[in-house]
Amino acid sequence: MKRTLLSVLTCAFLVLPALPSAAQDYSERHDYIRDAGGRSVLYRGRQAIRYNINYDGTFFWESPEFVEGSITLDGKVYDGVLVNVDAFAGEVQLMPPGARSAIVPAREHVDGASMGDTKFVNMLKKGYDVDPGFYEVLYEGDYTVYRLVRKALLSDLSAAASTGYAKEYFDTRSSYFIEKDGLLLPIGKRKAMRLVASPSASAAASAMRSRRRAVSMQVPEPEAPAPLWVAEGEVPALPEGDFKLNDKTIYTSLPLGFFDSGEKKEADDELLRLINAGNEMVTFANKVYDVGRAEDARGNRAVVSGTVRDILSGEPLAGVAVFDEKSGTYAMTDNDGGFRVSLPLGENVLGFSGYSLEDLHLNLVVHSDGGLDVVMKERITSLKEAVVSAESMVNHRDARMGIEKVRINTITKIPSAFGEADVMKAVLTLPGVKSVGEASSGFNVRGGSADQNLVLFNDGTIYNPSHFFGVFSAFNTDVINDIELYKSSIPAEFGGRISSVLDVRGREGNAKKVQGSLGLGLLTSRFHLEGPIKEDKTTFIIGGRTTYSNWIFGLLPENSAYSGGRASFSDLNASVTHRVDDRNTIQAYAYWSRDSFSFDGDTTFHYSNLNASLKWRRAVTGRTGMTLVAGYDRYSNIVDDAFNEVSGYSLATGVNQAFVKTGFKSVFGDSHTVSYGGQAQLYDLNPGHMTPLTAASLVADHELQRQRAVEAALYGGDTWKPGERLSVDMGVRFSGFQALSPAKFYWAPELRVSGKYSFRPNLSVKAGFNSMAQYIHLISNTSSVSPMDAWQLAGADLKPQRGWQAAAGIYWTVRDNTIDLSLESYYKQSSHGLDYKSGAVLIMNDHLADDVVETFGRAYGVEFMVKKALGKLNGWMSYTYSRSMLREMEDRGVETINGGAWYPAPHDKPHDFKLVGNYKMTHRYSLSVNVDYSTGRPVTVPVAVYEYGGGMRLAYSLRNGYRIPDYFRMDLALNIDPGHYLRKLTHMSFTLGVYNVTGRKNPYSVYYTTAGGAQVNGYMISVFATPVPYLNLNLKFG
Amino acid sequence: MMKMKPIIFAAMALMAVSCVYPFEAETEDGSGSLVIEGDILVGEVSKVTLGLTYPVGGVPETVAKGTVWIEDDAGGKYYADKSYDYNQKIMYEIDTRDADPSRQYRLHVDAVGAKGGHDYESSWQSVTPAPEIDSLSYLKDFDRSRFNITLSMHSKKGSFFKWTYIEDWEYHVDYYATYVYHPPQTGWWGVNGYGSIEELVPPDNIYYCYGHEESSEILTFSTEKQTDDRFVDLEFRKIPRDDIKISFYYRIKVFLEALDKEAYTYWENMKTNSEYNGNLFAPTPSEMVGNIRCLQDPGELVIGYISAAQRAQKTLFLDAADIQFYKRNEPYVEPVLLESPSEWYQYYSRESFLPYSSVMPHDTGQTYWAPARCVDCRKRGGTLTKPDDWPFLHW
Repeated sequence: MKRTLLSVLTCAFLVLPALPSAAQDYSERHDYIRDAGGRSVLYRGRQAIRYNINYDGTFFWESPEFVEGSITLDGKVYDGVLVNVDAFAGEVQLMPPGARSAIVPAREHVDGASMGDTKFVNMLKKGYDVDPGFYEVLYEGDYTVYRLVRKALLSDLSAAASTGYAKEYFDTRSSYFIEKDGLLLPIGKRKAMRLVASPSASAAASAMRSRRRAVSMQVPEPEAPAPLWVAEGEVPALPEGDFKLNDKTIYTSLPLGFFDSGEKKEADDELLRLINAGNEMVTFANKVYDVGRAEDARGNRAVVSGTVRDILSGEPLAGVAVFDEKSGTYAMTDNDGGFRVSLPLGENVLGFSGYSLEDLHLNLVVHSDGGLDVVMKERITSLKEAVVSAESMVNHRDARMGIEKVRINTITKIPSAFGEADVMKAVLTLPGVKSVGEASSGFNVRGGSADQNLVLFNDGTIYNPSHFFGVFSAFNTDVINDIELYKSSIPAEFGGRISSVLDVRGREGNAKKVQGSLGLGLLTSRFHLEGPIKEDKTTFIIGGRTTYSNWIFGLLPENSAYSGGRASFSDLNASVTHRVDDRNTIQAYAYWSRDSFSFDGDTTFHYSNLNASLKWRRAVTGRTGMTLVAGYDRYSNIVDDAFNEVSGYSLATGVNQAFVKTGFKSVFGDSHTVSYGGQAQLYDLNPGHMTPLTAASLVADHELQRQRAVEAALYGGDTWKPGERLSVDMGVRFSGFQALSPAKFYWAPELRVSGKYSFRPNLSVKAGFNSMAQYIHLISNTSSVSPMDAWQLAGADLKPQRGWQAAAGIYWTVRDNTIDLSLESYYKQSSHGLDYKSGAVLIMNDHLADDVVETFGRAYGVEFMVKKALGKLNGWMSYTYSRSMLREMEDRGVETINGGAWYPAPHDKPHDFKLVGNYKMTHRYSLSVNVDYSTGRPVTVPVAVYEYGGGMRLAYSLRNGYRIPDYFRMDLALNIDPGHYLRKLTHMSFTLGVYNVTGRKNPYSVYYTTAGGAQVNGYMISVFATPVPYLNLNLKFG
Repeated sequence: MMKMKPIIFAAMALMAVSCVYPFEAETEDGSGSLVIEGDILVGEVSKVTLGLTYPVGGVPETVAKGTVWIEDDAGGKYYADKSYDYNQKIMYEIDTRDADPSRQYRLHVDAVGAKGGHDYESSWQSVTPAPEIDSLSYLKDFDRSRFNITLSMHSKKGSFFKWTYIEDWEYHVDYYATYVYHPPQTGWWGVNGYGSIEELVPPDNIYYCYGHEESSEILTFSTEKQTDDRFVDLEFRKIPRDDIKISFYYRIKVFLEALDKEAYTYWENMKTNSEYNGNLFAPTPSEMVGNIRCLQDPGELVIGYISAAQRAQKTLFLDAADIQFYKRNEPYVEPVLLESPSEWYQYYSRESFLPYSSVMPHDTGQTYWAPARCVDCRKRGGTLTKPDDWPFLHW
């Protein structure tokens, strides 16, 4: 079989007519099993791997053709089946009648197989501790001669010279063995051929003489084999240690009782060996599991619920798709790895797939509602991207749209200034997300302003997600699992902001062993430590970061304005998770960050985030799960100005909030997943408190009226999947806001609807509508969010912000489900956003509402994205055309901003191209590239000059009437991961990169001076005007 | 106070890699708007200046002459009695010395502006009472090598203040010249002779000069957030220690007036606009409408804010001998003795030297020469014209 690139390209089209037979595949197979009275053990196993790469040769023993033969399962022979042997994985494959994809029976149950006249023996099953796999019998008599064929996937780089790409091919290596009297001995090919051609007992005996290399047969201990199948109502005897079958089945997926502490070390080694071999599915895919008890059955469906965890660390895995392969019913695991899926009683195949995880297919017999905890392992890159992934199909299952998920291993590969892997920088590489400029705080989603994003870190609100003026973000990547950005469909459980939700989720500590890491960068260093307090029961994870950036100020020229400057930040995360029992988990979590900087000694800025929360998760019933979180968030900001002794002051602003959130998720019937809950938060906001800095200061102690309010919301939502093609997500949220002093009440119904229709399994369209309300404003008159900006609650003077968004998109997954194409467009409107009046005083203003104006916002755009999540070359590329405009709501005559016309928002950058790519050259080396192009941001520039007050002054254009030049930047990074020296205690990884490779002098902003009084000079500031190299070291231990 | 220094610089300053480049943008021409400046100063002669905005990088156009008067709320009118043209602007002087501070005033400008024939009117303004200047003093900052002029004031009414200053100084050069050199005629043919040296007779001299400077920064202060309306030792003028201004005699006159909040906001905004340094964390520039309206076209942009005020004034006069702070940074240059007139022109043209003295009085045969900067005080930017009210005479 020789595939060419061309034929692979046409593959996408060939898939379409083939689809009906895929459905046939399932039905015939299930018919077969049904006809067998539910007692057939044939055709039970995981699906065979399909290698979605271009290669020459075959991974099968000889040819990809399935040959009629037989298979022996635990001593029982099944004749007349279609058989082939996968020589890459060392597995037998069976092709069920009429099916398109083969089944791999669990190797530990297969004694042997035959293809026509060729006979194969499972040498491991026979009792020899040799390379696993099926050995072909060449001769059988007094002695037996075997041939083992091993296939390896190699790259032919010489082909690259002419074709431009390396040729992958399966290389065949054969080895020969002789078996006699319970001894197995490797022999040379020639000797083997002679023994086969002219059988001779003496020649065999002489061949067997060198017994040193021989392997003797270990007679397996007589123990009950793992049951292959279970008749209805029967509860089989449990094999010791391995796994147990009952209502709460725990699938340890490890052959040697991985979770038994006594044998853990060996188990680890065994697992690692298997992982290194890269071709063994370390899962229980090939067993059949019972869920529930027949006597508990009610109706004809049952809900299977459980948790998906990582096999190595025991951490819960979020965002794993769990789907019924027959009906397509699916669920996604939540942040705690929990899932709940409704299945028909009887036999089912439940699929699990998640980003960078190996797909898993479990054969279940469902008797009633029941639990099923599953472990999955990370896909190993050494498998050369032999990928069967249903993960990219998530786009076609979920009705919601505009959801971007980035896992931490992607984040760490994106090059960034100073090499510090950064969550916010990763967010900025997504289509529809912009910032005002590099080294600026805040981000803008689909034309919304920076205060319209809800940034959640483990349920706590982060009011200032940046450190160091936005060069770094407030999140320590060591303790983060993934981030999810909701740009369009915002689930009803979220509210309070009208543009987007950025949900940053921390990791739970490793449940198995203590681990940690250290990271060293140019400006920052960080550490993290995690592990079990009580194995598999209680875990902890802590992380911290700090800067030593002050040295950089020392490099600045002595007379520069910044020579006296100081800047530093730190942050700390801590979390403890305790699994009370199978149904209850409690998590305590805390986060603290601090920033402090000053210039020239006069003014010092400090700000700090603090979050603490306690979370209780409970599986109420098999069908219903509950979470309850209570917490406290604080953001405080202090500016100390020692500009003059008598006018020195300290200005404090801040937000305090206490919250409680509860949510329930239930499965109803066979096609509804309902979520509902309520939230309440109490705000105590300090809009400004000024105190004299020293006793000599004349500044009056003055505090603006504190703002206290209660915001509460009730929500309900239903994910309804009437069929495989159609899926609807409906939600409604009622939010109410009561300002306490002076009293003022607002409320809003918020609608969250989205729907999906799949024309084909890989081609879907979606549309959605969201409306939102926001009861808090960030008051700013700067281009970017500045640490001086203060938050204000809605109240008697300031109305809440309102907004809605309508969006539609088309999603197409091509090239064997490896490439996602998507096109989304949106239109958004908002009202009561705040802009500032010319000359506005925003600090310590008792009548702030007089200095700000309310604006209408209007944004629209089209986002086109190509994403390849997996493979040697992975990443995404997007182009966005979008506009974001503002208009003052009230007509104030001449003073109306831009005469009452629409004007561009500060982050309005119509054209935007982004590329994030990663190329894995080998296991250890990968190359990352990041490209960012966008139209220059709008600015207000002088259009005339005049003399006033003794000097030259500038008359400025209409607000945001001009643009700075376009922005283009390319970054490159080389990531060197630790080698697979698995027994080493520490692993070092490096990132070597260059930020702004082309050294383009990208404009950060422009300004004009009238220096000398005679001439106006325009200047452009470029923050990173040259290529900025960096080196980052990461040390992992444990 | 509330002189919240913009959070300068953000990251850009942190990175040695950040750079500033010249930048020019193609912008529309926003020139031709009328600019009216000048407060109604009760108790003084008010000065109102008319001008036009001009393109960035362009030259100002001359403003048309109009009729200017100040009107009080009782119907009284004060017409401009004098006007001066300078720098394509026109300054009108209006005598408001006897105006009644309890009345409201406004400014009228008729029949000027780019469009011609437009009339302009400011809003009615109450006269803000003069604050008290408690002291005008100085501070020697040895650490930063600069000399700070400080102002202390208090007010019974008003929380917003604006002030301007006028500086005058007298300085001298190193060598008192008793001669003046007239260089020879030069042309395509070459140099005609050696030139001549003439005696300079006191009080004519090129040794003492006078400098003059007016504030170009916008100086404002708010006591709104303070316990009382005063400020103490506010440093508003910083002079480097080696500035020739403080080398001999230095005088600064400060004019302080109170503003209402609206006027203060206008001035603050103008200041923010001119100080914007491109920092993303600094308030962005934004045009603000003043209190002058065009009667024919209310939408016409007119720049300026006319307040009415009584001003407080205070003068500080300093003698460098008392301050003991000036530190000369420039080395003394040894004079040269020229033995022959044939060397004169060479030293004059190549070395920029001038003669100041001679070996024998009244004999120009052997003359002492020194760099022009050390001989002729005018080479350092000043003039020989003494301010009218200068308290010293030299000869």
